[in-house]
Amino acid sequence: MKKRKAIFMVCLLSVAFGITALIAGLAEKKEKTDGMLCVTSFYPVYLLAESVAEGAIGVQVENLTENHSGCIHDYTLTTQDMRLLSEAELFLINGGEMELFLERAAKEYKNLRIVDTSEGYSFLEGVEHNHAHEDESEVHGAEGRDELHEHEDGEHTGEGVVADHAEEDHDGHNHTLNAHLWMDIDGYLLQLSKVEEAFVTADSAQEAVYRRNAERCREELLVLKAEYETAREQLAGGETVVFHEGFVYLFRMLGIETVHCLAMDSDTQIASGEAAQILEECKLHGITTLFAEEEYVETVQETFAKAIDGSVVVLNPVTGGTGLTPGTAAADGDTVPDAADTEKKGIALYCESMRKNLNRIKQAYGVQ
Amino acid sequence: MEFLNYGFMRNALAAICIITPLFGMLGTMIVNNRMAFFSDALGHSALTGMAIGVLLGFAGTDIPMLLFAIFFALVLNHMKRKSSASTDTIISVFSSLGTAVGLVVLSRGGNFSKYSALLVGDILSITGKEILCLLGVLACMLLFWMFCFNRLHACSVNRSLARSKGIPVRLIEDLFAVLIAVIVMLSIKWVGILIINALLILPAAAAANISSNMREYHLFSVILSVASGLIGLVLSYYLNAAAGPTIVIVAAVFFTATFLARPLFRA
Repeated sequence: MKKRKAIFMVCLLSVAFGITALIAGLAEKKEKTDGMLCVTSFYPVYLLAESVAEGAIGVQVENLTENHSGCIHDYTLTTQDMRLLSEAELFLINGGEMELFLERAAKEYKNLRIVDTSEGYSFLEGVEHNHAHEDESEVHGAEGRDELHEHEDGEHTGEGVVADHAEEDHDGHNHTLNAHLWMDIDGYLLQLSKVEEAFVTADSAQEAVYRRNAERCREELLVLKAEYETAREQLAGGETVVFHEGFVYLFRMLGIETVHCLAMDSDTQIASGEAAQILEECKLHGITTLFAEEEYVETVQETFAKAIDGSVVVLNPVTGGTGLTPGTAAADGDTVPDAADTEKKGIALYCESMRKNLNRIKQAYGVQ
Repeated sequence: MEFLNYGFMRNALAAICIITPLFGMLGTMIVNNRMAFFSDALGHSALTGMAIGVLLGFAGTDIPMLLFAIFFALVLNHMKRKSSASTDTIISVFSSLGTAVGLVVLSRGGNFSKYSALLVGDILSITGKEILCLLGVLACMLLFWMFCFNRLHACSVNRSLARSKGIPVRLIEDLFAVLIAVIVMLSIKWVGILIINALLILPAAAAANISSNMREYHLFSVILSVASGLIGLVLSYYLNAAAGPTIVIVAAVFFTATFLARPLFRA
């Protein structure tokens, strides 16, 4: 009997290890990249890196979370990602606590140059902080935090509290940052400069290429910024409720005050108390148009828009692809992305998405 | 062996070589003592431990998780002894409570995604220091196994008989519960709440299918656990899949194979 069991175990393990070896042998071997490999952590940073490195010889730009749409707060690194990072020379991240998965991986790759493209940016605080600590403004009133807006009703301390990047955790609290700075064109311009400098430092031989590309991107972004500033003159003073943290930056550019921001998250149910609070605020401020990303438009429509007899407008948080698919995009009068749009890349794609966002906001507020 | 070129894979491999025999041995004792559900509840209590750490403003949540799990295990043991309700009911109540409290606190403001990595674990990001820590746990586990296994086994067979033989039943049971708590908490970040119990139970259950004595049971459990870990890790590398769940799938295949082969070994 013992012998039979031994033979069985040997056979079982041989078959198992044999199949594993076969799969390993058949698996496509990744070709080692020649030149410099630059990895970006996230779509908006990838768009920047792709544009700045365009035409540079021997430079390959890869996005770590390529198949991941939406924000990457809950992203977990796969073995493929770890392989990519171990071969990379330059790693461009969004920062602002967006890359939570990075904390441990960064320790592993001490030779990898990690560039935080948001360094020096004054982030807004995330929504968790605002609602968890209603009296925070009193506590931190004298610590250099700016209230961007104050309400007479005093029901909310505001999503516009500026959090100094260097000051986080100074009081032992777990402050969350609103890391979606790319939705603020000034923030994206800052990221562009950081990406440009990162490439120039890593590959000074092609400095002229990087500088030229970055300048072209800067010009495009400044044109876009001018369009937003023009729209601001018509839209300033409005109020809104949004369902993506990135939209807070978007509306701030237009002088529209975000009365409430609920960060939708596929992992978490909407707390009933907060849902009621949002509905109350919508009624109080006479808000009937809500802004959400495509993924959550149905939830927002059913839970909130119906209750206030309002509508939902889809905006693109620029976290992957064009963010628009047939059907939902057509619902609010915008066009479905055409072939020309999908061929666009880098900064052009970003500008296109942001222009569509602007048009939708203008339509929602009845502005030409 | 291309995967060994990468530091993260070497570290993961070292961790697997420590965690899997540990789980193989612990699994047999857990199955023997009918505590499979108990270890599952402990895994879920990690959420509450983490929530307490967040509420108290701890920089890292490892210590609160560990302390809470030990407390949770001892209270659970105490309730099992005192309550007239069946053990699985008591454990179920504690498990649900542990999960719910953790979820309520951690999902405040819709930020649960920050902690959701704990659900599936990430063995690829383990560091050298943490591997040494696991090595220490393995040593403790071996000591417990050498000095307490027979007594624990006696308790699992018949508590009254064990007590009559002078075995401190309560102490041994509490020590074992604390050991499970420590091992589960120290490995949960690498293995994940959702699958840690599968890794503990599957190799032992597979071994039980073909074993006829304690020695075989332990030996097969450790062998199958280590093999599942090694094969799962290598497969996850080449298939670009999450390591923990791949290991569990391999262990489940071993369980199925031994289950089907059972008739071959009937005396």
